[in-house]
Amino acid sequence: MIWIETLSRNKEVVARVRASGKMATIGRAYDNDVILDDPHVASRHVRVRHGEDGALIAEDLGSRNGIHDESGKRRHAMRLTGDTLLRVGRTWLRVRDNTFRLPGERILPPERRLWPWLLLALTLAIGVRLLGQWQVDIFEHSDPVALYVQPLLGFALLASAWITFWAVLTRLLAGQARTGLHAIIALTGFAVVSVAGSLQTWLSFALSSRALADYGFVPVWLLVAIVFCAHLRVIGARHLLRKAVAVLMLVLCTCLGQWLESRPFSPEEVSDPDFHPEAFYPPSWRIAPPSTEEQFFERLREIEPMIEKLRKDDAEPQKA
Amino acid sequence: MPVFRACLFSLLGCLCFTAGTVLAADDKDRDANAAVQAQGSEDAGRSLSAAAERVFGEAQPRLLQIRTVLKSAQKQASIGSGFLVSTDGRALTNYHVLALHALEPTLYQIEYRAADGSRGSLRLLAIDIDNDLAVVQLDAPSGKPFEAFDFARAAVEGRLVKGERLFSMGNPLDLGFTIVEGTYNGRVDKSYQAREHFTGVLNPGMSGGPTVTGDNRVVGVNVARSIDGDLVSFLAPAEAAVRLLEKARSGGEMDAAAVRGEIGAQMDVWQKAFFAALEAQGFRETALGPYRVAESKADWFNCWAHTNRDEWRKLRILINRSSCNTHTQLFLGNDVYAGGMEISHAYFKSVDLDALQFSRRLRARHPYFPGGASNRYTPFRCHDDFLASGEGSPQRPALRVSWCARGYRDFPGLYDVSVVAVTQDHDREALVSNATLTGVQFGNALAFTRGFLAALKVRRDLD
Repeated sequence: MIWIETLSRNKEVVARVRASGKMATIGRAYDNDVILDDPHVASRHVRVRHGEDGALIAEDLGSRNGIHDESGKRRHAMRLTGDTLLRVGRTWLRVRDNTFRLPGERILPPERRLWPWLLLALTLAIGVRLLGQWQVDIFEHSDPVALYVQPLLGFALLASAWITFWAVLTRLLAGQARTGLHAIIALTGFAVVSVAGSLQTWLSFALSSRALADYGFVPVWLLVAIVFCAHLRVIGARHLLRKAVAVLMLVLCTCLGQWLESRPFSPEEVSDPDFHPEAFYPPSWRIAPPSTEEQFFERLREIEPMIEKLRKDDAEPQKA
Repeated sequence: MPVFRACLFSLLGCLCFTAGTVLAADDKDRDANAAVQAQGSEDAGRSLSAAAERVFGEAQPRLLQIRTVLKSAQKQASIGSGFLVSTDGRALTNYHVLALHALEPTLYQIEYRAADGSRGSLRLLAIDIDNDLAVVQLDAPSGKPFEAFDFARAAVEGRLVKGERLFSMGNPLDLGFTIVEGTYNGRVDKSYQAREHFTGVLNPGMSGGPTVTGDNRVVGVNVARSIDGDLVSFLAPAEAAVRLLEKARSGGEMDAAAVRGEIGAQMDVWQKAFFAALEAQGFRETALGPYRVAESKADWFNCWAHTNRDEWRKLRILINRSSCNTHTQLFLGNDVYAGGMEISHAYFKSVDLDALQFSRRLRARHPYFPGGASNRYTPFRCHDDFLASGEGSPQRPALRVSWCARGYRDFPGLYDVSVVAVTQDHDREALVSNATLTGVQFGNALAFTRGFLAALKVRRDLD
């Protein structure tokens, strides 16, 4: 008894056909044991039979495209061990007989209860979202519905869309939606990225650092990248490095875009220091030690040569 | 956000025209006041328009329209007015009327047109940035002497009385030489710069034209008007014009380098005098909650206060602001001004906001700097810092300070500076102070900042 398996490009079994005889033929024609709808396959393309030692052998029946092994080399005949893959036209095949020895069954992992984690992630995300809103609940005309309910509804909608997207993708590619896991990743990721964003503005104040205020978005986007990779990991563990690199490139592009955007478009904006909006925090949230009067004025004095340099640098091309 | 509106002086946009007819002046030796009285009786039986007609008739040959012409296109880039002050062809106008030429003589030239249609080129002899005046020399086409204005002695000596009827002349909007009647209303009180208050209409293009008494003697040079009020116009004082003419006597033609050098030198002198005057006038301590700030006693600050206490039924944060502005604008070049100072303090006190929410509500940003084209200024360079309490003055609270400056590309050594300080001594109460200086020297800005920060104090024991 011979089993002929048609594989996808990812080498997953798409179809499995049993040939009950001593040998089986494969081709496009209807008198074959296995019929392949591949225009690059000949009418009668391959024959599979048991060799004298009992091993399976695939033989080219004189097709124009021939048969190829996994490395892409054209072969007239191939010994098949059961794990050997061969390509016929554009179709990947694997042939096994009923003596093929499978590895033992995997032990089932202990039943993981996702919902406590899901609940935790949901609480975290909603908490972070509400905390963010509470910080802007500072005006006299604040309306609780507009301030707390509407953003939560919007958040729920967005989060559902995001989770559904990943679940559908995973169902398509890995056969299983794994919605719960995606939800945990998405909600936790949201909370972490939000907190990191706030951390960035706080640190730029606490450390008195304009660089952090200007370029702090980079670590935040890297966190977004990690969330992306986690979603992709759920889909499948194959080529994880390649996926991570792709996501990283995407994030780098985003960062570059944001950096370009944060640079002033028009010369007028350059001259507008309002361009540096500053966030304040309570005095006790400061980290950097206060400067002395002398240190402070020393730093101010350094600004004069910086501006003079700008003035001179720009004077040259203008004359040209 | 409340908008502090104050009387903003806007320079008259330059438009141009020429003038030139000459009527012999009345007896030049007569005292100006006497002249006015004599003329008053003379006009008693005639209508007001007859007086204006006579003044204009006499003045016309001495009036000029001054055009700045873009050389490559041979078309006017700006226009203003001017008037002859000597028979050998010296004329007065505003510096801003010919600033384009003064700073970029390779791109722009200046020309005059007189009322009789004659025209010619002009040479720049002297400038006065503080009073926005310039002296130019006409090239005499025929060699025959020009008719010229005299100055009213009463105006030069500061004896002109409020209510004096004046006539302002110039070429508004390139429509032709025009005479406008108005009233003298004394020196402007709330101004560091010496400005005569003329109640009458000045329109763009009349800049640099003369304002005269009924006997055609000059009391001031048209320079600006208020964009907030009606008929509120300003003149550069006659004594400044006389002084500049005196100075022009010794100098030759000014090229761009000389103009820039002169502006630098004048700004240097001006700032020394300004900061000395600021110091001399002294400061008074003003309370904003537990905080104390120093406010200048000088009356040339225009100050406004605002509270949000009456804006909401239930306040979440109390905000009291006070803001003082000199509204000084020394015109240096197109869109480039110097000498301005604005100081504002805002006291924030939480009513029901938590410390974090309170800090979010604090607004402490640098003000918007009017820019114009970027190549007039460098980008800003800033430094943010925390300052310990008790430094500078024992009662000074800890501060969060942001300090920014940009340079003037065309005027080395001049900067726009903004300093914002937020007190850091309390989590539900803060003072946000901002000082903005335009066209200031770096050293002066630093010295000012030192004094500004040292003057911020807190007195909690009184609570």
